[in-house]
Amino acid sequence: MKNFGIRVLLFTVIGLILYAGVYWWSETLVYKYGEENRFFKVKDADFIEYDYVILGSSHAMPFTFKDMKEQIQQKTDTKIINLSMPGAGVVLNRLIIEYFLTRHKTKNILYVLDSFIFYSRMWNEGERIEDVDLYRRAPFDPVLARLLLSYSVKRGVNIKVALNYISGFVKINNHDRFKPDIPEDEESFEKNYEPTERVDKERIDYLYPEEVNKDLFNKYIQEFIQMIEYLQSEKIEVMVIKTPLRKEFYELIPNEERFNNEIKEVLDKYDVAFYDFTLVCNKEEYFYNPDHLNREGMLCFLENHLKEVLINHRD
Amino acid sequence: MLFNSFSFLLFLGVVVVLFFIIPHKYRWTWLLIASLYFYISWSWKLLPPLLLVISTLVAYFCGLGIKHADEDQGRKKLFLGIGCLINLGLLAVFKFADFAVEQLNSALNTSIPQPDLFLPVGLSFYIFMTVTYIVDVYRKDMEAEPHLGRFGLYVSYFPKIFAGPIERARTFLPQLREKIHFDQEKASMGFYLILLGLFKKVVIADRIAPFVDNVFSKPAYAPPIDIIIGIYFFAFQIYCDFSGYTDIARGAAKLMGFELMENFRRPYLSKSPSEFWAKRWHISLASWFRDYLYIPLGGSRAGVPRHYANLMIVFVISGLWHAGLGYGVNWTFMIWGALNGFYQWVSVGSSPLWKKIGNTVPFLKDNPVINIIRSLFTFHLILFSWIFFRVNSIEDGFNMLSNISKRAKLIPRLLKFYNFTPELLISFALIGILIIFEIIDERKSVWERLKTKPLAVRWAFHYVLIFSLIILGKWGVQQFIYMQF
Repeated sequence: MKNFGIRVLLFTVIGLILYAGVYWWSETLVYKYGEENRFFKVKDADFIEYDYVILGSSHAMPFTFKDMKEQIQQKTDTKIINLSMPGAGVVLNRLIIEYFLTRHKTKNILYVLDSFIFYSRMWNEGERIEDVDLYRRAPFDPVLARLLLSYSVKRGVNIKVALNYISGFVKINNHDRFKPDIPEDEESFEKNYEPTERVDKERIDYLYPEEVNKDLFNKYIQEFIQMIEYLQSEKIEVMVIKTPLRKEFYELIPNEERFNNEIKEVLDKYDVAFYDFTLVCNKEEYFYNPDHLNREGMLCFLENHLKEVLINHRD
Repeated sequence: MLFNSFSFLLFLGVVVVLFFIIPHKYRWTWLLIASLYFYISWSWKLLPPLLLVISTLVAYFCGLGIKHADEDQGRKKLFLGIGCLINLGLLAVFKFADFAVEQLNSALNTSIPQPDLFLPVGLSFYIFMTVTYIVDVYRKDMEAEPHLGRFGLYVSYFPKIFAGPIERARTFLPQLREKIHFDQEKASMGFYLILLGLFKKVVIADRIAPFVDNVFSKPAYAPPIDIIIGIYFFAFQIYCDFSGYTDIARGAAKLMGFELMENFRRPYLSKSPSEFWAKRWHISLASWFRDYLYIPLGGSRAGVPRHYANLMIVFVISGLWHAGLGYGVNWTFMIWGALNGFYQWVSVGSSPLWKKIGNTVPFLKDNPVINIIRSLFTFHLILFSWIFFRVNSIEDGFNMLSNISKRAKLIPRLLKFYNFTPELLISFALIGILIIFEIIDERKSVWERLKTKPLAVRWAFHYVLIFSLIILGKWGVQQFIYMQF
């Protein structure tokens, strides 16, 4: 029995050494292929200080597709970093910005707002922040590990998230380890969308729940307020915008007017600038799918609206 | 808690360590608590454990009733009838009530509301175990178990509760009475079986599952090459999924010193459909049908027409039992069962001819080339029947077949331009490795081979399995197919 115990121990020790080797290999692959993963982007960012950090969900992603980042920076004479993510709710954006601020600084936050993120756990701590895919290209960083552990303790995020990240399992087990880290949508950025009612409807059904859970909504509004307070305490100016949407699509969004009024009230209270660009630059040919701007749409939006906002708040 | 989850591995570790620490007389209590926790933790609903308790109590008291009826045949039959009726009734209601109402509505053009009963996980398996016990006690194949706790553990023992093997009480209950000491050899084999089962499940079955799901979800629109690959993949998906589950179950039981019956013996190497069903595929179910249905019906000894009828009855009922296996309850399973029944007819009918040919041309008997051809032929017969097992409707099945046959001539050209993605190529390679492993295992078990090798080779083999799981495994994606009925 004693011999067996020693063998088990030895087998485990060798296994752990091999695991460490595989972990190291996975980490090198993260640095080799990593690009758009938001944690990677923070760790790998070029500058210490930025003028703007863009937060939000997928509607903010075209801001830096292809050469858009360079165009925005050039036209507004700013340094920007886009940390928005598909379907990212308030809780996930808070995690990202907290992590960012441990390594960098920013003068402003441009929060690209969508109402759907306030309606479901799915876009927040539920499936979103616990989605292992978020961490597959996240380089190991003790600061992030500590942050994830604190999110488990304080916000009830599943401890598995932190353990998965710290153990490196999520990277070792990454089946896309050799694929370039580029958002799927970026390939569609040059395309045009031919609107169909069915696709629009499906998209709305995917984003918005049938009924609004008022408690959940209030909870995420509170989270949003806390994030604003946190950013303002760090002397960062926050501004909130809503991006263009096709009229037909916009009209399908449930309770949007009510949401706008409520959010305006909150933002006014905290002296946060709010720009609602929902119904500008919203011709059919400006979108590559039901609700995301393509290059043409993005250029229209930049030239006519975004540029001015970014320049005005720059200093 | 699924076998393919980290929480299960943690749970198993705790259960095994405490099992050997706890004194023998309390071990059944510990395992019963662990098993019930394992079962309840699946859904945290009241109904599944309630049904488990009802089925267990009915079987337990009917067993005692039969025992105490002495030679009073009437009373014995009464307890047998009550026990079987309640247990099989529960199975029928929870499995077929919705389907029956749907069929009734469609036949009579009525709109009776469906009861919307959900099927508690593992119901089919433990019901078969409790029925087996009652029948065995009735037949005097075993003594009724006087200890309710141990009997409860037989029914609910966690490694087999979700998807078998359908263990016989007469082989399992005596093991619970034995004082078990930790056995290094058994523990090592248990560990090996768990790794092997996980490899089959998370590295192979769950990797090919999305491709299969995609093809079978829209067979009318899928390209013929996709359909062909999808059908082959499904054959390996269901094998790796189910035999993977059994390997983990047997491995987990072995860690505690218990033996569960072998459920799969390299089924795709069978040389005939009879061999496939009688000796290699889901053995615990096949032997259940043989002992509790086929033989009571008269088996092969009631004349030729009855023999053929019995074969067909067994396979159609087996098809019926499989209905609801994650792919809904519908008539496709009846076709699958009938098709396999037909294969048995041909097998039985042609058997004298093959014997005659073998005797006349001895060269053909046990000729390796002939054996390979026979295995390939059998595999493709089974493969054909799997189509009707997996499709969502009979129409889908025929759509798939017509889609392939219409474009059969184009297939070589389509193959040339087919996009074999890296994911597909990895899947082919893994299936290839599995086939080679099975061929080696068929000659002499890989475990037996490993035992004679130096420690470094044995450990290297285990590390390869472990790191394949870590690097290539698809974790936490899918539950086991056979848990769904």
